[in-house]
Amino acid sequence: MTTTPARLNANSTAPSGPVRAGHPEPSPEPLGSALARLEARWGSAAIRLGNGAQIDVPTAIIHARTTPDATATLGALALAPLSDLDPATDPVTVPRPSPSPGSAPDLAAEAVSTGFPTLDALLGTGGLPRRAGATLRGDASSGKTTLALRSVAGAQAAGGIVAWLDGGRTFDPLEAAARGVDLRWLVVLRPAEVGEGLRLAGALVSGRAVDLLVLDLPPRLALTNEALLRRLAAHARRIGVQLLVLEPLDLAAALHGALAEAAGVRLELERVGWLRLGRDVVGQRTAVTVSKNHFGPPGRQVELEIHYLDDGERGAGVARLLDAAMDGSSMADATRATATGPPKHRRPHPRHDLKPPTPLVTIDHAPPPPRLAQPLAPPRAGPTRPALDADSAARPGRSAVGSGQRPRPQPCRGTFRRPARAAAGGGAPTRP
Amino acid sequence: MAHRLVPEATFLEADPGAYATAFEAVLEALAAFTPAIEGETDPTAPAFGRALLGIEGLDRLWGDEATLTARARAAVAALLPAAARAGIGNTRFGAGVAASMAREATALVTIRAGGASEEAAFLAPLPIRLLPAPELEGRFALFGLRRIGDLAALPRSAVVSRFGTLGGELHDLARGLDGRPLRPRRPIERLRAEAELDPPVDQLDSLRFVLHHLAGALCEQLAARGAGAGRAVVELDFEGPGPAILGGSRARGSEPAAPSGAAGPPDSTATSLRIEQILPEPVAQADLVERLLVARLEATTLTAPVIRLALELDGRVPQAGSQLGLFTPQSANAARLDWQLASLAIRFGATSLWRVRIADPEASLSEARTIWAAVGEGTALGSAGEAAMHQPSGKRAP
Amino acid sequence: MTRLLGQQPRIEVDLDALGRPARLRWEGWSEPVEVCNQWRIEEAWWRRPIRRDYFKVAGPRLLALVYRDGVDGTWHLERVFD
Repeated sequence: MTTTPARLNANSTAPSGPVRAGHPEPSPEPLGSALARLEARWGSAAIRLGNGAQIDVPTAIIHARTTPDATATLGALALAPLSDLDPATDPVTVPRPSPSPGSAPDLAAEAVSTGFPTLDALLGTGGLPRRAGATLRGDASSGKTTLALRSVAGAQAAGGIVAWLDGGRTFDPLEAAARGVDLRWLVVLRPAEVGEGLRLAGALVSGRAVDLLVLDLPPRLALTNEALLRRLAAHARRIGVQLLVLEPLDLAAALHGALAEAAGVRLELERVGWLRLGRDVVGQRTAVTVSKNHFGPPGRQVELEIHYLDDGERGAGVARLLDAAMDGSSMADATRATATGPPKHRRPHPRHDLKPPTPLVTIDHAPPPPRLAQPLAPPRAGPTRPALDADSAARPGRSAVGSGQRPRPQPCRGTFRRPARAAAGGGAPTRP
Repeated sequence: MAHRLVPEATFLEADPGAYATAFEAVLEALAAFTPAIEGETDPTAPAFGRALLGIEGLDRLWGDEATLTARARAAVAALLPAAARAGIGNTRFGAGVAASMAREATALVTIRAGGASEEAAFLAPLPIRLLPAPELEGRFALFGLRRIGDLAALPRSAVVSRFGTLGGELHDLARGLDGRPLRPRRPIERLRAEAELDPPVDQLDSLRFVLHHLAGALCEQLAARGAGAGRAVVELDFEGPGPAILGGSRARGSEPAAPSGAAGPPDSTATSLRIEQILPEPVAQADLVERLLVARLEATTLTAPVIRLALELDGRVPQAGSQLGLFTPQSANAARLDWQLASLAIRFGATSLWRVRIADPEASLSEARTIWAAVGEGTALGSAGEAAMHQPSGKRAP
Repeated sequence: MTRLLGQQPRIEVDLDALGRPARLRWEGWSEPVEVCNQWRIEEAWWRRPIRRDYFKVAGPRLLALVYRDGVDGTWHLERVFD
């Protein structure tokens, strides 16, 4: 099979495509190894460009979604045609702007984005309101944990520090990171029992050390925790710490009642179908109903599409997740969706021994990192000037003697120290 | 092998001791310029032969950067077998890369003074193998990442989910963010103060009062030296023979574990008690030190009056250089959070609060992908540190 | 997001004619499932052998990842997709 080496961008470090004022440009996405394996396995069904050219792997760098033909199908393995994504709402091309570290964290903002633009729009405040608690209620695979993690990422992108009470000891850091959570600014509470954890969370709230507290309640939580839950919710509201509760479906009535009273926003999540790639389930469609909303009209509903990072895929080392809100927020759309609904119990297919799972090729949705003290200078285009290479002789031009100027003070607050100058000396010529 | 290839060559016996001594002399000579100097004197270490100097604010003493560098090179010229190469940057990583690029013709390479953007711009076109992670070099190549700028251009979360926490740290370096502080060679100062308690004291409030004054006095001395305490030790002597304490901490609902941040369980004999506490960061603020030590005392049951209380603080120079946390909006709260978490870990138990890092996202077994570390084990949240690694179940991480 | 069950609790599994999971039982609930995908991980035979047959299974309530430990034959729940 002949391949045409193709680079979608003339310059791999200068992405092309639509750029919105005030938003950072999307980053190019390397997919070399993923595509090589797909091609080896699927042959003609492998991912290819809309114009039919296949990609010369592993050297090509693809800039997803910025070529004119990218909206054409990417081959049989495409999860979702890119034309289904509305550039106006896709979280990748319209990332939430982050505050600069010189200013206070953007916590005065009304709400924390859930990571799903259509849900944010539905809530009336652009996300989960900061000054009221929120509850996500749903069954085991309803998607509430994904939604919570995306919200955590949103809170961190706005400059917040988050604590997560891991009541069931099921927190997966790798998944969290893949969803955009910055583990550096996350504390995980894993107490011996949940009541102790609620007290610990209360102490954390008292110290005003965190901005968002997530309570991931385990199923069959003891009734004796009702008073603690109420107290914690009231305390958090008083202190101004945002509370997000993940409520399992089978919570006792009294506890459910306590949470219902405390929350300003309640979302009910129900999985309405699986997303399949062949026989494999690679994601789900979830209906989110706003059952209570102090900040907007209740009763509205939206359908979200959640894609999983396949466990087996980690061993093969490929890809990232695409989460996109369905455009057209009505249940009727589900009827024409590609989801097949809950799998019926039917005669299983012939066994496929030791088949590696189908890889996913998706686009990163993670919110951008907080902006740096100074805006990054874009990397200088390589071809127009000789790259500095440690193996070659240093060119005298840029390595001129420093002028000795002091670093410019960074705009900051608090105990920021100016980045000090450091000098390194080598005692003997050694290879770096 | 070498003998076989070049039989006529003269082979010298390695003398690591001599190399170490020689480089020690170099570091001593450079210490005359600044107390903020770090250097590796173990000849077997990869960083041997490299000296790192914090030169912030030295221009008034030694002239501009070029002049300072020339003087430093002159000071060590006779001590080194060859001319020293030098680099100047805004971060230790940048300075190190700049120094490695210096050559005979241009013995000093300087990164433009400024911040992360200047550093990142300098590093962007350079080969990715200059990043301090040879184990990831092959995988970077698989993803088509050849220059440092290629890595810097990717979203950090994507890098972490693909290459783990180490990848995230390399991403920070690539973007000109290097939070690793200088570790000065200056010896640790140990300051100690003690008080005889007559009559003996058996109330915690009274002990707190004494501790308050001792901490105040010692922290004042540290501050005057420009140093901060990284570790605190409290010693209590008790009245009378026989067992005086129950010892240990009251970790609820679990085995009595060493309180978080402790350098070991309280060392108790019949008549004395010694409590060590690692502090989240080097500080000279008495109230912070006192609060943490009082929390430790509250977690310890005393059954005999105390006749003597001693406080010892290990002083170090406070962190110099840029801090990673200062480049994110969370940085302003990070220090306060660290202290609160350390305090909570003492109160609720060392296994209640955790931070986590991604070790190997490619590991086939899920349990091998991440490493959990109990908060308060000596490192700040948000920074990469060498915390003790324990799985939440108590097993050691692989 | 998936929920990673760090303790990887033991579960009871009913098998179909091909020896693959057809029903899961754990902590009082019982769920008929269908296998969507499967793979094997085998490593460290020279140290502490690990041989696991992983099955991604979907049921009416949930999508989960279970594995059969090839060393002792037990079944474990590793992950619930949520």
